[in-house]
Amino acid sequence: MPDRLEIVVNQGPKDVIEVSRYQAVPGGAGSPVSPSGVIYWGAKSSSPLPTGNYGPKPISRRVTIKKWELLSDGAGTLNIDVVYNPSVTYGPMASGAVSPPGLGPSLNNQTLATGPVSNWPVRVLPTGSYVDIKVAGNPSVTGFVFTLYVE
Amino acid sequence: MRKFSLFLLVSVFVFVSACMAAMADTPPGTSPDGMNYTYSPSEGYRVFCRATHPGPLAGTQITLSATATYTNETGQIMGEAQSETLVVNVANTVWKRTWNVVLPEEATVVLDSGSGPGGMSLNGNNLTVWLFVPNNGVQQQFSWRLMLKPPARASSN
Repeated sequence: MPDRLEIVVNQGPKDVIEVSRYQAVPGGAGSPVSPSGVIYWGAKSSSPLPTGNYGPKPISRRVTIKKWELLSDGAGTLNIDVVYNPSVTYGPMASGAVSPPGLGPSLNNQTLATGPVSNWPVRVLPTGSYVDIKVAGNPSVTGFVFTLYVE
Repeated sequence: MRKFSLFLLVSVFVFVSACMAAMADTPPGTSPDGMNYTYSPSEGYRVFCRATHPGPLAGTQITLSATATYTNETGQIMGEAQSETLVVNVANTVWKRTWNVVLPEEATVVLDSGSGPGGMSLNGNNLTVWLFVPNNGVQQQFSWRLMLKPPARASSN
């Protein structure tokens, strides 16, 4: 059984984005990502989404990124840069490029996009690093779930 | 409108503050059930929702015993006897505990792959957070992050 998100997006008048069931990483909040599977971020706002970093995730073992998936609560634009810190000794803010700067995962009047990582500068996240996403530009969607599939 | 938004912002802080028992980033089982939060420069505000199943533990044996009464045609009790006992094993169950929070317009809620066994939905400014709690005696925890944006500024020209 694939370790992946199952997401229900209600695009009706209630404006709801809901993660109905997902495989949580064992260990609870803030725990390092250790099994193969997914690393994801989900966000929802009643107003336009803020830009900037959405929260670093610690990596407890070397993982290889296989692909990405971006789902929003409505058709619109959203641009994401995947960034990382080689080590927390470099400070809490992840800023090193994982996806090509300015050419990362994006939605262009879509609700779902997915893609390979073959052209990403960094596809392997070392043990002890932190991975984060950075929402750039002027997002027009108010909710999204971004998933990195890793091994 | 801005005053109202500010009021909502303050209200959420008061609500969260009122719900928290301690400000400690602790694993499940070391803080009481309920909500609290932590703040760190890298993550901002992380709100923890914790709960423990209130029912009997799975596998608990409950013994039911009965007294058998014998009654004749006239309704007269003719005798009593201890009936056989019945042992009931408490099955595995999972309850869902839900919290409802009203968010200010400036708030964005974020979950991630370490959030825990639960989920959340936002309907307008009404946030619903839920946590799945099995009857194994272990406290469960779901966490989410609150991102606060500054109120939109009026044009200065």
